[in-house]
Amino acid sequence: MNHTLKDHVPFGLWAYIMSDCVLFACLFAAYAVLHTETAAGPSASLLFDRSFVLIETFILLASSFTCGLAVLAARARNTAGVWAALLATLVLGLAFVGMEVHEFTGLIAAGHSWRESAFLSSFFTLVGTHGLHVLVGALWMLALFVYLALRGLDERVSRRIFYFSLFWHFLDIVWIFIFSLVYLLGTFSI
Amino acid sequence: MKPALTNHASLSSYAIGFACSMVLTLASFLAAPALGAFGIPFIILSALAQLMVQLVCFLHLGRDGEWNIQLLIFTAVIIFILVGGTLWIMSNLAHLHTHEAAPAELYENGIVAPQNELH
Repeated sequence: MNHTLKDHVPFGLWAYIMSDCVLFACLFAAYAVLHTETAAGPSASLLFDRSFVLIETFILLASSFTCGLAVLAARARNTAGVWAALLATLVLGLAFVGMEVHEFTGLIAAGHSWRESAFLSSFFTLVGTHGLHVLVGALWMLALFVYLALRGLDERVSRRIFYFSLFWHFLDIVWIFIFSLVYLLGTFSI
Repeated sequence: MKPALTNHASLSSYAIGFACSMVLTLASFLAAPALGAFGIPFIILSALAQLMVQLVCFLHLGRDGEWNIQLLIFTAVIIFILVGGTLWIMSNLAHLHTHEAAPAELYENGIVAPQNELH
């Protein structure tokens, strides 16, 4: 079988995603060590709102689903379907980032910024890094829209939509651990 | 002819993945009031289950040859060493700092005293 350069892209992308997992694992480790160091300030159980996080989680999960729909539409050469599904993914992704910005600005306005304690430093770093990844994903989608508008749905952009979907699904997977370990275990009470 | 990258993607895999993930997410959020002390392991297991669901249903892991599973396993080993090692070392450090001994008591009979060993 003749291997061209572009056959190796999925492997390279997957290797990159795995390295990003290691990055997040290190941020989780830092959070695990530091989350009890609240410097006599409020702890997780006082600061986090579970129902707010539940809504955020459903929004990101739904965006993962619509991203899958975009991949299917691209394979079926359904241009309108790709536009609709990708737009839905973008809107949901931006809604997620908007909610997260709202949560962060609320915390900071109440005086609980990353400067207050090691717990908050590690929290803002971990959750903020994930949020930045989602924002970069949104920019990636904008780039895909520009390509789609200029050249339509060709084989090249279909492959790129598939590569984007790998990245987007990985972000939802990282979020599973953020909401479980940071928000749920942090606010755990019997 | 080489199969398309998206050959394993299907509406049913995304729909099933979405539905199972929602169920597991809701279960995690409801775990604390419903399960009491067992809520903590339940939340962790539910997160791992949802990881598997999303790896298989959304990322179609394992159906395109094994290279992506190999990379995943390698990454898991690296993460286990990094996170596990961090937690082990930091807990030992915390233990040493809370059970501070005078310099003379750090050693007994020429070697590190047992309570100051790595555990």
